[in-house]
Amino acid sequence: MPESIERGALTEAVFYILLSLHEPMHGYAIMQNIERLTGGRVALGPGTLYGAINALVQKRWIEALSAEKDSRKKEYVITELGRSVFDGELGRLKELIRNGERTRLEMKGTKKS
Amino acid sequence: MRKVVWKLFVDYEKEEKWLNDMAAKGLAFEDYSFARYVFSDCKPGEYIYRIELLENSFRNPESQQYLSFMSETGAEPVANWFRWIYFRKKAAEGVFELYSDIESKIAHFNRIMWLFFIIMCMEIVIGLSNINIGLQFRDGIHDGAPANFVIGVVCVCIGIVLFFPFNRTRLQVKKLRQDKLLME
Repeated sequence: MPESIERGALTEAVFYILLSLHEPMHGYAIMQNIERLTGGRVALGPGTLYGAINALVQKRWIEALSAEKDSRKKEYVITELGRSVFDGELGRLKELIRNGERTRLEMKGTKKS
Repeated sequence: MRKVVWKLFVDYEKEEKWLNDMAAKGLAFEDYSFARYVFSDCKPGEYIYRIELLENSFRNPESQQYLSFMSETGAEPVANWFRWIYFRKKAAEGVFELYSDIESKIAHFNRIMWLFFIIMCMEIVIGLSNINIGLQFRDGIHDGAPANFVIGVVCVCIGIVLFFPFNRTRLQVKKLRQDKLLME
């Protein structure tokens, strides 16, 4: 499984797209969902989103749902591979937070003593 | 009411700013053909305009797919000129930037930079060869080819004018690449 060896950090856009696609959504809904989740901090540009979706489909981290053919809006959903990448990223982020907070606590401790 | 304005831009960022200023005054940009802008009335500040250089030609299915995706997100393709495309979105629907991360901004600026670079080189090569033709045959009997000379000078001038947006885009890419070392 060559794909599973990938260790790089996901971009914020990719992280939130994968997160959103745990349930099927079309492009505009992804943008709205991300804006809502981040309280407006992350406003994904439609050009950026389009490029990211195409790249994610190519990597097979997400797939298009072909069920609704008459609907012009294409829906996407995360794949098994996408889920494992997302879980790996969550683990990486937890490690960042753990290390960051531990260092902060240690610094506080040394200042008091 | 329809209003037609003739104006020629080399710099698409100034053009975009101008379109947004017009929209702020209540004039919504509707159609474009070379240097000719058509406006109609709108509520002041109703729309935000963005200009993009497409990756493929306008008629290419890839581009059409992209445009229909953009429409879904509320970005309406208003007009196009070759690969340049004008989008607008209702300002009430919130922020409108085509690209939100450094990588995709770099990709867009790179397309623009290469376009300016290629046209600039073509103008200069064509210009210089025309000047060369214009200066030949000056043997006392013939006085050269003045038309070629004039065309040549005009082409070289256009090439020089194009250097500025090319160089500005190049510097933008350079700055973004530096930013990218630190953030995404």
